[in-house]
Amino acid sequence: MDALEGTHWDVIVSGTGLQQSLLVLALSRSNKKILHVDRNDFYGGNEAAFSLQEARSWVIERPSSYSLGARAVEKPSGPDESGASTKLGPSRAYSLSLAPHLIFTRSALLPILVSSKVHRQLEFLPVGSWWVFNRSPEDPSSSPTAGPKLTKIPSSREDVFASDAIEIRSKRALVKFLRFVAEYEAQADVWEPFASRPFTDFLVEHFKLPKDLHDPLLALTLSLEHHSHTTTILALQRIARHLRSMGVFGAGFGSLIPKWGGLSEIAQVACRAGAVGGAVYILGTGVVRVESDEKVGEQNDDGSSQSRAVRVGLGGGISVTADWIVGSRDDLPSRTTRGGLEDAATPGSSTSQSVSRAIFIVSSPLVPLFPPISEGSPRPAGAVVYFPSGSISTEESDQGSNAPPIYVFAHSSDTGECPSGQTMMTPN
Amino acid sequence: MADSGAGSAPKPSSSVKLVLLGEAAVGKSSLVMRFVNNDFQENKEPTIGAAFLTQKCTLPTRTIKFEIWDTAGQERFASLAPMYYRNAQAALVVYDITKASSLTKAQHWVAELQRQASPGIVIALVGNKADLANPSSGTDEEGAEPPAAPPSGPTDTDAPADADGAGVPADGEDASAPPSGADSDDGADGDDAAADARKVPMRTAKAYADEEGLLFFETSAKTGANVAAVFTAIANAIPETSLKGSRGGVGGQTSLGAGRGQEGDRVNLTGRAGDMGAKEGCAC
Repeated sequence: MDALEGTHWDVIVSGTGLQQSLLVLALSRSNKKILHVDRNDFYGGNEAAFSLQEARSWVIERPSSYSLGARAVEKPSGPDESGASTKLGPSRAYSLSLAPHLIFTRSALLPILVSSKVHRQLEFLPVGSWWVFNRSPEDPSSSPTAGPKLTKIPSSREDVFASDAIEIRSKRALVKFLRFVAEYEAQADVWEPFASRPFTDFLVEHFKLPKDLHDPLLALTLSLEHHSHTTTILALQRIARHLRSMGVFGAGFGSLIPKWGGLSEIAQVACRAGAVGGAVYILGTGVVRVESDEKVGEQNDDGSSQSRAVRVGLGGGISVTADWIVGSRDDLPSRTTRGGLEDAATPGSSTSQSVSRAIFIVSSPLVPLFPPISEGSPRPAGAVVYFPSGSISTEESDQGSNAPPIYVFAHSSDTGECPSGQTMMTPN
Repeated sequence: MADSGAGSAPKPSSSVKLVLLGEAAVGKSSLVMRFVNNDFQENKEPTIGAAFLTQKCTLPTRTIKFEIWDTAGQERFASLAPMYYRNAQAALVVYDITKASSLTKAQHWVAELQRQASPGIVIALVGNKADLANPSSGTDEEGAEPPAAPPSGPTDTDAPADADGAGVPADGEDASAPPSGADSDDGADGDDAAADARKVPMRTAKAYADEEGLLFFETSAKTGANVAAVFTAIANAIPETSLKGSRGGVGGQTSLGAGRGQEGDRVNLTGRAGDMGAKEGCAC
């Protein structure tokens, strides 16, 4: 560490989340001298992936300055009726992702990974089926055996036609809608009047889609809002993204998950590639102080008087200088002296949303959740289960009707996130 | 490029991810350059983007293609990412025989591997810079210097290296300083031979390696002595069962358990990704 004292860097990047890591990767290939630090002793920031033990200490020990709310770890000690093994595997057999993501196959991220060649160190697995949770029918007598069940969302127009669950008339309306979404941008006259109205209004008023078909479409929006707040424009963008992503890398799937813990793995691979390109890495050392420094500024050799050089204090009392310092607000000191920093983020826009998230380790492979998707396509390792607003009882739904829906990302052990025979479930 | 294996029937070929660990300046990269550059399959990628180097090692019954991962300096501030260890089937933990503290550091890395890496990983402890030692300094009896591998011989030697210790005599007594702490690793501390820079007695390191079940070698990246032998011994020590098809470096513990095949179960980003890039434009 002492060897760093007084060194000068083109760029100091604070935090090893996905964005910072990709930035360093790019800069390291532009012959920039980069110091990449993270106050955490792990890679990935808010997208990190942990062993069981690491997850436990993360929950218990995170400093309160972290922009996260309440959190807890529990190991249920309930009776084991089935006799199945509910034992956890060794801590390191798990890779608990703090922020599981779906990467749509049309995502701009993927071409970046390919062109930078870091994709060779990554493995991507397909997300197969999307499911909708259906409550038991209102009138249980109509179908005595019917309990709550999961219904698979058709993944293509062919699937829609093949489905027994949809009436012929509804099928026509649905296919008409799907055709429309495929080219919705060119038909602004159709949707613009509904743009900021609830998506369900649009489905009912324009496409006459029956209510039982709303949930599958809402599921595809991945909207974290109650459907009365899910606007038509958002829904169209998201559903179009979903449909256009289908089949890009193989039939029957439109999104991917990186093996071994999601975005954390991409961040780590990017950081390693950054290191190969010359970036210097220090974990467990944050930026504690940033101030402008005239003396450093005078050394600026491009003749411009607009020097950006800053003096940066790192944890451990090390002081270095840099032309640029980059980091999210989580990773930079909140106060900087004499405007040495520009806060690029829009300040305090009050759109902050809070999301509740949990990670469940399920002692079953839940094979039926991951049916084969299509001949010739890789075996799916992920599935999405959509619980419509109010379909299950939560504290929020008990208090009001506008409870948000819940998405559960299910990852099979093929993701390397848990031992074989178990499944990771992450409700959002 | 000529493949030295040409002519004979193709042997089963497997990729093995090998990670390098060790204190800075013990010669990790030099060892790899010695191993890789001697041969027919130098990785031609430019330095940028060269995530690892590859080299084949041909054994009597199979060919091992090493994917050799360097730390890229991330070990300097103890900032190696878990992905570095992921699915590594072999590790080369290097120390400098002229620097006692480097063996301590190597022991630290061995412990780290035992904690982080796959349970079945083959670890070789390598004392480098053997050329700086007096021939007889490692073991004061028998004058056993490391078996001299041909300095620049073909790395795909068919001679099966002795996988359990490279013929290093492990004779008993010799009360040498244990590799404890970072004590005076420069400056002559009581060594008799002026020309001998050795600070780590071979028997000390060998005893440690035996205790931990590690392969052990002393090498010289400079002269090439024993370098090929290290890799051959590692190749021999990797259990047949843990080897995957030719696409690899990724066949790890969980995929063994899950029975997931190598190819075909993952998504190939380059298949159609090219079209996609062309269509949508690439952001970089």
